[in-house]
Amino acid sequence: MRPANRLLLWLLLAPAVLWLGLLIVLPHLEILMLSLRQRVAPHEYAFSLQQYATFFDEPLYWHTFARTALISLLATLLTLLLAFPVAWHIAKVARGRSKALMLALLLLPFWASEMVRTLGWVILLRGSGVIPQWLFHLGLTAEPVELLYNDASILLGLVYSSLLFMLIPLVNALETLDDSLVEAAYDLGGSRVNILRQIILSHAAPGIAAGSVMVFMLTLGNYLTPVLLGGKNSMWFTEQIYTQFITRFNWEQGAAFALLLLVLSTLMVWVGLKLTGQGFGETLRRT
Amino acid sequence: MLTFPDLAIDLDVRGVSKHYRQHGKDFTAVDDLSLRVPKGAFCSILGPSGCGKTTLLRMIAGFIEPDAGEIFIGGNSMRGVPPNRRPANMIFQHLALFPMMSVGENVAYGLARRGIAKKLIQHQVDAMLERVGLAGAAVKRIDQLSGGQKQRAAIARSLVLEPTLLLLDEPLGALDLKLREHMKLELKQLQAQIGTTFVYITHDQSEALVMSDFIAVMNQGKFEQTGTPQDLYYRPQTAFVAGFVGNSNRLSGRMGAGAGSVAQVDDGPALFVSPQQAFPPGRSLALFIRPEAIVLACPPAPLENFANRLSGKVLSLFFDGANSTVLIRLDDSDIELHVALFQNGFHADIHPGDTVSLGIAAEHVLAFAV
Amino acid sequence: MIPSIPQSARSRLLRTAYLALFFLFLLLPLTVVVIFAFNDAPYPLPPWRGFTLDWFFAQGDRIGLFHDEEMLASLWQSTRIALWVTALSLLVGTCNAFLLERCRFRGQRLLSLAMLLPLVIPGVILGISILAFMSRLAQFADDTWGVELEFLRPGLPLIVLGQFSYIVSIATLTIAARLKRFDTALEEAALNLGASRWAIFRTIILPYLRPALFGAGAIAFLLSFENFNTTYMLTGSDAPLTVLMYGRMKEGATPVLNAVSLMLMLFSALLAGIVYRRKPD
Ligand SMILES: Nc1ncnc2c1ncn2[C@@H]1O[C@H](COP(=O)(O)OP(=O)(O)O)[C@@H](O)[C@H]1O
Ligand SMILES: [Mg+2]
Repeated sequence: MRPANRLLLWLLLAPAVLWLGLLIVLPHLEILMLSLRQRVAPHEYAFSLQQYATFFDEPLYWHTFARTALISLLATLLTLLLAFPVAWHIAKVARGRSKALMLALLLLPFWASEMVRTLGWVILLRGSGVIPQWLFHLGLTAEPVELLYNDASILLGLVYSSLLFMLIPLVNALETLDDSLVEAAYDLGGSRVNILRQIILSHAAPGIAAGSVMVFMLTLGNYLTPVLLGGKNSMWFTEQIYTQFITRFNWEQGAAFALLLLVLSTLMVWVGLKLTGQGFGETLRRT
Repeated sequence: MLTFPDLAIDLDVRGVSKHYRQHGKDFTAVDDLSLRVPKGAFCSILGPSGCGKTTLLRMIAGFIEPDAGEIFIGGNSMRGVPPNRRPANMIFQHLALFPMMSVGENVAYGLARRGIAKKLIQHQVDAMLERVGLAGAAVKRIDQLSGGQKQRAAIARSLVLEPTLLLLDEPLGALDLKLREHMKLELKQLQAQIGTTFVYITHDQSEALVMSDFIAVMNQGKFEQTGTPQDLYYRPQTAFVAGFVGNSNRLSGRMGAGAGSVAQVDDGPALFVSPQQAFPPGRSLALFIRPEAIVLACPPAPLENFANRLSGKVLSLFFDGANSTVLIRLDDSDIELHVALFQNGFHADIHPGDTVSLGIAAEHVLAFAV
Repeated sequence: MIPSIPQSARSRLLRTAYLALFFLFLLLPLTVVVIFAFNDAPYPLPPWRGFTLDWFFAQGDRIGLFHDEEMLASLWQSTRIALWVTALSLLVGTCNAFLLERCRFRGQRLLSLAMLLPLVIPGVILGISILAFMSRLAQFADDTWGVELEFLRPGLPLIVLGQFSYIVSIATLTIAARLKRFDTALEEAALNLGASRWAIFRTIILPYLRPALFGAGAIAFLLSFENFNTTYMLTGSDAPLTVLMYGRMKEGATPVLNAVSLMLMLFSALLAGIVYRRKPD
């Protein structure tokens, strides 16, 4: 390589190294170090696994952790089920204008911020909000019921926020499925269920994996939706991290929590990709 | 090798080689080639794909460094001169017109890089576009041009820089047949009119024959023969050239033992061959006979003026207007020959199953040792 | 199933109904946000008390969006952050794209994977890890040299860095994807016509990348403007828009929130329109 090219390579490498080093790698090492120490006296710290011990000793913490993981999983599954028929319709049935319109409609909520979407759900679900009032006026409930601040409302909000991240990879994957494969299978006597399983799902597997991984990660790391739609009952793990860090100023504990969440997230993503036999890089590029 | 004693030489390639490593083995793409192209000539390099034409052209343009040898353009050595300083411009295989610029901006591109004033550029661009028949197209986008117009725009973009040498890498390859036929003539006329030296690469022998002042036939990194189109067509020096340039019937056989130049075709008749070259008896040969060199008589008649007199049966007729041929199987053998019809005064009144006589002059049976 | 395969009328009906319900579900929250921006009541809740533009323009008992100093200040803060993040992301993203597509060096594959990493880290964790690391740097500077590095404390610079840390991944992906499709023959043609390396970059490659730069820029701006998770962890005294809205929502929302939401949606739609209209080339 010529010296001029060498220099150019270094110049191009510098921003990437600074970015990944100063904003990703070192901060996470810092979190790791923080999580492995304990304050023994003012301004004096010692190595300890106490932060992790606290997590397992205190039911509130690991309950919240498990609950967050479970609801995220449930939300991912629900999103997939809700989105698949729509993705199929957009990819395979809709044509021309109606297809473009549907895609635009899908994108609309996601060009609006998460804050706006959540505000919408609050207005809809609150005891004094739109839906409880309707139910009351229609005589379906004796008095306006509070639909907000429960697990269902959290799930609803999470699924709603995740739809696009599931739909886009699904639509992309299904669009590359050759119609004639489905026709051939049908022609050869395949039942609908069989065609779905053997032809469609196996073809769409990369898209399903990409969408599910993305949705799971985003849900697990979400803060705004569970907190605003779940209120005091939200018990979301990111909220615990925030509380430890910002409210209690207990950075060591918060760092341990953050690391646990990161490990869980990475693990689930890894398992998800292994199960469907997908690579990490290509999966992310797909979304 | 042709020599041009009283002409200035625009391109002088001296012993140039290029090796690549392929699958761990050394592979010679261009093998010790030399070539001299005089000023104002239209020179074609003709060869099958993969023979190293593009590699040679890119070495002339400066995109590839030769491993050995030296290249002179306009008398100056190009050693160490980067491609953007060479007085040679290139027409790329897929033209490489800049899609984000208008036609005018494309043509102005090289001039602007020289830092010429805008007004002057404008003037030169308009003049050049007019010359290639694109007057008024300056404001069009590239994708608004037809295939032939794109071709002309690419040529204008290079010629406006007044290069010593214009290098063209199969520029007609992407066009459909009709347009290709048309552009062949147009390119030739354009070159004659502006007088810039062209080095034109192609695997299509008809393109090379129609356009060139002289042709270098290339095979496996080497030149087989250099000469005018007529030289190559009528006086091929190697079996490869005889087979590659124009259509021929190819037969294999060996040299006969008797006196005179008689070859015994494998499982076929004995033929008098062109006495250009002497071969020892028993030498295996490749024989080439052009379809239009065979004279037909139908109904059969003695063809006394021909050294070789044969008879056969029409197998099939390939009607293609003036290019119509028939396929004839020789009697008592499996040998099949293509024979041009138009040349023989027949048009379509010959039918499969007809029996015919064939006459071939000895000098039209070319023999090469294999 | 695909249209060419026969289907009963009932299942067709079912599918149409499902699609209709789905899109209703999708659009309902946005619709109520817009409607209650114009409700003549102190809270964005039913019943409907008549149409008003108070929540945009009022300046007395009610304070409309355009006179809400705090809200306007946060909008400005968000804009400044988004501009910084966009500029930085495009600059570094372009460098990264060239690094990935045009250079060959050891560890390149690893680096290209590492560049995707920020996308799988939850935003909250990105925020607090940067907060913790920068605090340590600030502490270190204070202890060793006795200088107070204010920009390493929560505030605009940290928010910019936090958002940039993952948005630049997206910019890199977008720009690299287009650069990958660049026909290098164009570059050779320009070189052949006498252009220098720098001229080629300026006149050929940059114009070619322009659509990707526009797209990546718009997305970066929007993502920055909307970001909450990372921003919330890094906010100092001047709250950007999302953080302010969050605070007000916890206190009890007023229709001003709906009004600002409407403005945000309009702005996003405008940006989206620009991006998608440029798509064809
Ligand atoms: N960069 C390269 N590395 C290895 N082999 C190459 C390279 N470029 C060309 N070749 C090989 O050199 C030979 C000649 O290629 P080329 O000059 O492109 O042929 P042509 O233009 O006549 O079709 C081919 O066999 C090709 O595979
Ligand atoms: Mg070639």
